[in-house]
Amino acid sequence: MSQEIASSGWGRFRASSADFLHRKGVMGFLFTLPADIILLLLLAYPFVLGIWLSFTNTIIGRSGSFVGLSNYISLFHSNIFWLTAFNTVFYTCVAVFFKLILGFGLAIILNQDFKGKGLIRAIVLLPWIVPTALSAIAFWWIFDSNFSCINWLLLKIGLLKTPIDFLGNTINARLSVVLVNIWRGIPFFTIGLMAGLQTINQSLYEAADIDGATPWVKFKSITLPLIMPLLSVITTFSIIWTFADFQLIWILTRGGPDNATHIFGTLSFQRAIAGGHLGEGAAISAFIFPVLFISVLITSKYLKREN
Amino acid sequence: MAEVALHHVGKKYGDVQAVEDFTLTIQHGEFMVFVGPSGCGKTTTLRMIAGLEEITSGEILIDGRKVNHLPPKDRDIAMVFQNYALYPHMTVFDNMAFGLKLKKMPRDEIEQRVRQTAGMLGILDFLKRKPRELSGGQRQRVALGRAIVRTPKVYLFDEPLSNLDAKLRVQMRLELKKLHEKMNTTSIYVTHDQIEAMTMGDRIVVMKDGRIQQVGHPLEIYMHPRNRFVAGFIGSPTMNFIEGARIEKENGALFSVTKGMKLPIPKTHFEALAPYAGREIVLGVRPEDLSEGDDPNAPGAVKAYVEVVQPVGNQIYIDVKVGDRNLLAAISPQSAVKVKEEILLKARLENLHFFDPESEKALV
Ligand SMILES: Nc1ncnc2c1ncn2[C@@H]1O[C@H](COP(=O)(O)OP(=O)(O)O)[C@@H](O)[C@H]1O
Ligand SMILES: [Mg+2]
Repeated sequence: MSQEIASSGWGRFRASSADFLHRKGVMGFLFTLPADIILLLLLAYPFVLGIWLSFTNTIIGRSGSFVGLSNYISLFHSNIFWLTAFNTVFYTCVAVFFKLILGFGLAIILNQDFKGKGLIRAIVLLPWIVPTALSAIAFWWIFDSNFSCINWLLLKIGLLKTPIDFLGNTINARLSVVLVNIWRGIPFFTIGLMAGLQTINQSLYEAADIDGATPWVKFKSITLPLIMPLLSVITTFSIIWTFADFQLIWILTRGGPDNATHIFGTLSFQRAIAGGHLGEGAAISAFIFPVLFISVLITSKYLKREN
Repeated sequence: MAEVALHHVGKKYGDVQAVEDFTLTIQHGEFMVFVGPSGCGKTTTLRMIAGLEEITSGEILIDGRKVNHLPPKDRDIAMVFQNYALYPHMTVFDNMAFGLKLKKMPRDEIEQRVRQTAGMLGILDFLKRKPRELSGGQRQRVALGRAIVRTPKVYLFDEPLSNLDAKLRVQMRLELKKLHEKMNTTSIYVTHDQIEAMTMGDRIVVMKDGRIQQVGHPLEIYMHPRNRFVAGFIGSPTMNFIEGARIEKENGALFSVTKGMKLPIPKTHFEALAPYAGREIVLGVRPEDLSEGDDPNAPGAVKAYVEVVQPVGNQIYIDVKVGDRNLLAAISPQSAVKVKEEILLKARLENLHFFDPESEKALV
């Protein structure tokens, strides 16, 4: 009976297909295929389309034609583009720097044992769980030239003679958007690093106490080296999100005043969607990619070496 | 070398009294072992001596100097942790040198000291490795080395061998003992393993529920446990406890009697046990004090029925029924004992233990 099946055509087909499936990789490939297709449609397609658009003069509602590098060349001759590049780097560097320092500091403080730490930890999460669009609107209100509650308070207690124009002049606007970004990004560092701090074996600190280490030495020689891999990953993510930010600035300033707060994301959106010049917008956003790619590369190199 | 003294030391965690009224003096160069079941407060006591834990009451003195509020680094102690607590990102060399560097010792002296200690422990070849590239036994040695290299006044060990396999444990036990003979530094060693305590300690502190039960030389504790807990905890296999045994007086002699067993009590115990005549006590017999006998009329002879036979090589453990009770006996490996047969046992009468059924204190 069994021999009959094995020698029949169906049996042989079954045997050989099982062989094929069990060959290394084939089964795995099949299992991941649905995910691969989704990734391809949702990530690779828009990405490739964006790159393609940047080489065309497409305008909304009209399919364009291939124009080579001309979008890029005109950007290179544009002052606004260079200002935007500066703004993006400034925004990213300053915001990430302070998010790292403040977030790490807060993580270390909250990692101590104290009364009500559960509640405080939950509160720290708030800026992170409130949708950015909402908190940006709240800050827009806080920074409003007429109704700012900060101004009201400072005028009331007599610290100010005239109200501060938070979003109306270039320097203030730059600092204001950076400030909001920091406020929003701190919890990401704090929560991530706190989880990391908790994995550090407490007896290492006790051994160091016996060895005569001061709090600073313990931080420098134990905490920092042990948290470094996690810290570098978290920082990389923060760089990516800050560099490619959009919502916050668009709601607060729309890139103004005088383009002082335009970053790649907002300028690209303004050109492509508001202005209709899809090709040019795509070329601007193409600049985001290499920077992020390099920072990811550096991090993964570092992590490989560490491990 | 240093003397460590604890006076009525206590530690409370909230409502939990982890250690209570702990009074003990550890002599210069002594190897003192704290032993007791898990949760009895051994680690807490050790950590209080180290300065890693605030003490709630009492005082601790090292070399006559009160150290209650002295930070760990100023107590001149070194501690070996149960999980070793090696700095994972540092090499073996840096692990060992860390404390010396913090003491601002000159570089070449550090180098020389670390190499000498590593040589003594046989880890010279691993100095450049990170802890994760070492086996458990090697890590153990590094942890020891980190303590030794600092030449402290007192060593504190918290179950340092409990993460090693049985064979390595026996070997390290021996090495630790040799190291101690060589350096003769005051050492306090915590373990839950009574064999480790017996073999290593100059003296042993048996603890239970945060309190000292007995302090003494290992054999003294084995021979004369002060209460039922100590009697049951020290010695392997565990002592047989026969509850409800009666002390009976006959013609001026005392016997401890229970169903199927009537053991004459040695004259030396008469004075202590006479007041208990006619009363029930708890009789303690160590398995190794029950041997195979030949004369059913000899004093201390006990007829028993064999239920389980467990040869362990140098001895045979037999689980026997006497009357309606089960007892464990450790008899000679030459015995031809068989399951489900009668056997004649002989109790070593001078080694019997008697406990008060209420207070559980030893009566003799
Ligand atoms: N940090 C702590 N907080 C609360 N209770 C603790 C703490 N450390 C130990 N205890 C309690 O103190 C008692 C003694 O613990 P420990 O000294 O670790 O025992 P051992 O080392 O003998 O196993 C236990 O009941 C334990 O639960
Ligand atoms: Mg313990």
